[in-house]
Amino acid sequence: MGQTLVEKIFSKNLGKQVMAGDEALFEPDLACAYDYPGYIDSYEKQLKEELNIFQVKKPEKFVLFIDHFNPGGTSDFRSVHVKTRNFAREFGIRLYEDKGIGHQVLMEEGYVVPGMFVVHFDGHVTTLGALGACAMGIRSSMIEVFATQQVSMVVPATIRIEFTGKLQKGVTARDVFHTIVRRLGPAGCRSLAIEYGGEGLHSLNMDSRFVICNQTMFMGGVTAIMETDEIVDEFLKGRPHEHYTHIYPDKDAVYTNVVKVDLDQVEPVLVAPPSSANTVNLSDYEGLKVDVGYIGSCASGRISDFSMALEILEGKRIAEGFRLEAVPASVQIQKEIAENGMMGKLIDAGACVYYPSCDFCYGLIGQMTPGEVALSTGTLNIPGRMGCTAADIYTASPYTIAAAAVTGRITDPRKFL
Amino acid sequence: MLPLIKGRVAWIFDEPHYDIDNIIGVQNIKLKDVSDILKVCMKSYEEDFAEKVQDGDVLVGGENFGYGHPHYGAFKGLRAMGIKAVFAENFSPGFYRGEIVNGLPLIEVPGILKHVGRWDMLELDWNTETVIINGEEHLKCSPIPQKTKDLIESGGQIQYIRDKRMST
Repeated sequence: MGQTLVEKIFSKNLGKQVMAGDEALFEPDLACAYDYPGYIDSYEKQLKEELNIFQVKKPEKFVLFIDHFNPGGTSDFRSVHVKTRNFAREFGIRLYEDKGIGHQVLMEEGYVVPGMFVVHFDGHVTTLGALGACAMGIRSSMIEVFATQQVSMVVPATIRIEFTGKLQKGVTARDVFHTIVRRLGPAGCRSLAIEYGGEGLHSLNMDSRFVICNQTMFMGGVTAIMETDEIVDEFLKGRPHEHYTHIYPDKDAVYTNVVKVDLDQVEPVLVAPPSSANTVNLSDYEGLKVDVGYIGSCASGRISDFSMALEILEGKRIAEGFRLEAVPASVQIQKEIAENGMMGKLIDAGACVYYPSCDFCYGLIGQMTPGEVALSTGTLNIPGRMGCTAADIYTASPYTIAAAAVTGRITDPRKFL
Repeated sequence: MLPLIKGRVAWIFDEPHYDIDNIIGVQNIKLKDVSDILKVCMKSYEEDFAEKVQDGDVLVGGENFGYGHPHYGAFKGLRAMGIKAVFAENFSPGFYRGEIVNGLPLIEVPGILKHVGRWDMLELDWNTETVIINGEEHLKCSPIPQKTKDLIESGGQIQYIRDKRMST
C-alpha cells in the first residue's frame, strides 16, 4: 500500500514499514528545547533526581536555545538562562544563544533536511515542515526523549492539501492558512499530519511556506510537511547540512481527505479575537482603529515579511501615535536587513526595529494597555498574549500591518500596491 | 492496574474548541502555586464550584476540547479539587499529549454530549473501552492508545519511564 510523506519518514526512522495508526517507539533525528521556566529546568531536575540520569545517550541529537527572556526578563527569569547553560554544558548538548528564535536558527544552521523526524516541546516547530521534515511539538514527552532517546508515538493519518494557481498581489501565505482554517474548521485537521503539495506550492517562496507550516496547530494538525523542490535546495545551499534526497508521497497513498486550494481565489483575511479559530474578512473590519503593529515571531520576522511591509512603508511615515515593532526572527536576518538597507528604511518610516527574540510574541516586551488594538504577525491572538487581557489582537499579514501603520486603521493593503 | 474511573459529572464544557485556559482565566495562566490557582479555578463559571465538587468527579467536554495554547495551571487546579478524568467528544492533540503525561485519563467518547447531564454518574470500563452512564446506558469510547493506558497505569510520565522504558 502506498505511503504518505510522514508514513515514509516514520518507516525510515523505525527501519520497518509503519502506516497511520501504528504505535511504536521512534528515535528523533533531532530533539530541541528552549529556556522557559518549567521546561529545561524541570527536565534536568526530573532526569537527575527522579530518574537518576546524568547524561543523554546521543548528545549530538539534541540542540538547546536561549530565545526567551532575552533581551527581556527579570533577574529571576534570567536565572533560567544560567540553568540552561549549565545543563547544556553538563550533558554535552549544543546550546545556541543570542542567535535568534530557535525554530529559525535550526534551519539557518543546516540542522534540518527533508526526511528528518524532529521533536520539540513547542508546537511551532512544525515550521520545519517547509523543508520536508516531520517536526512535532510533543510537550512534556520531551522527558522521554532525554531519558531514552526515543518517543512513543502513534503514526498520524494524513490530510493532503493541494495548491493550485498563484497568489494575487497583496495576498500572503498567512491569508492562505487562515482561509483554510475557515474552510476546514479549527478541528479540520485534528490529530492529523497535513501534507502540502500541488503545482501552486512551487509559486510560494520559503518564507511563505514557513508561515503556513508554523500555524499547523490552529487547524488541529500535529505536524505539517511540504513536498520539497528547487526552492528548498536553494535555501539549503551553502549550509552545513547532511546529504538529503527529495521525498514524495506515493501515488496511491491513503489520505483522510484531499483538499484543493486555489491560491488565486484567496483574499486578505484577519484572525479576530479571541482565538486563532476566528478567521474573518479583512473587508468587514476596514476602518477599525489600530494602535500597534508587530512584525516578527517564528511565524514571520523574515526577509520577505519586512520586504512586504516596505513595499507599502518605504518613503512614507507611520500614523501619529501608532507603534510599529519590527523584530527579525534571527540575528542572521537582523544582519541582512542592516546590510541591505531595509532596516534603515523601516526606521525612516517610524518603525522600532528590535533585537531577535521570542519576547514580543508572548507579551514580555511591547505590552499593550486596556482598550488598545494590535495587528500582529505573532503566532496567535488569544487575550493577554501581548501582555494585556483587555487589549484586542488581530493577526494579519505584513502588508495589512503596514497599511494600518500608515493610516492608523485597518485598511486593505492592495490600495497601496 | 488501571485505576477505577467512576464519578459524577461535575461540569460540562459543551462548546467546541474549548480553550482550557479559561478555567482559571487567561490572566492567571502564569500561576504556578496550587493554592493561588485554587483561588481562581472555575470561579468565573460557578462561584462555589469548589464546594460542590468531590474527589473522584469527572468532567465532560465537547469537540476539540483543549484547543489553543493550553497551559498546565487549569488542570493542576482541577486535579487538586479531585477531578479524576475528562470524557469529551474528542481532544485537541496538544492538550491531550500535555495532560496524558501527567497521568490524567482523557477519554474520547463520540456522542457523549447528547447523552450526559450534570451530576450523572459515569464509569469507565477499561476492558471494553465503554463508558457507562448512571449504571445503565453504554457508550463506546474511541480506541484508547496503549501509551495512554501505560501512562495512566503508572500515574504519570516519570513512573511510566521507570516501569516501561528503563527496565528493558
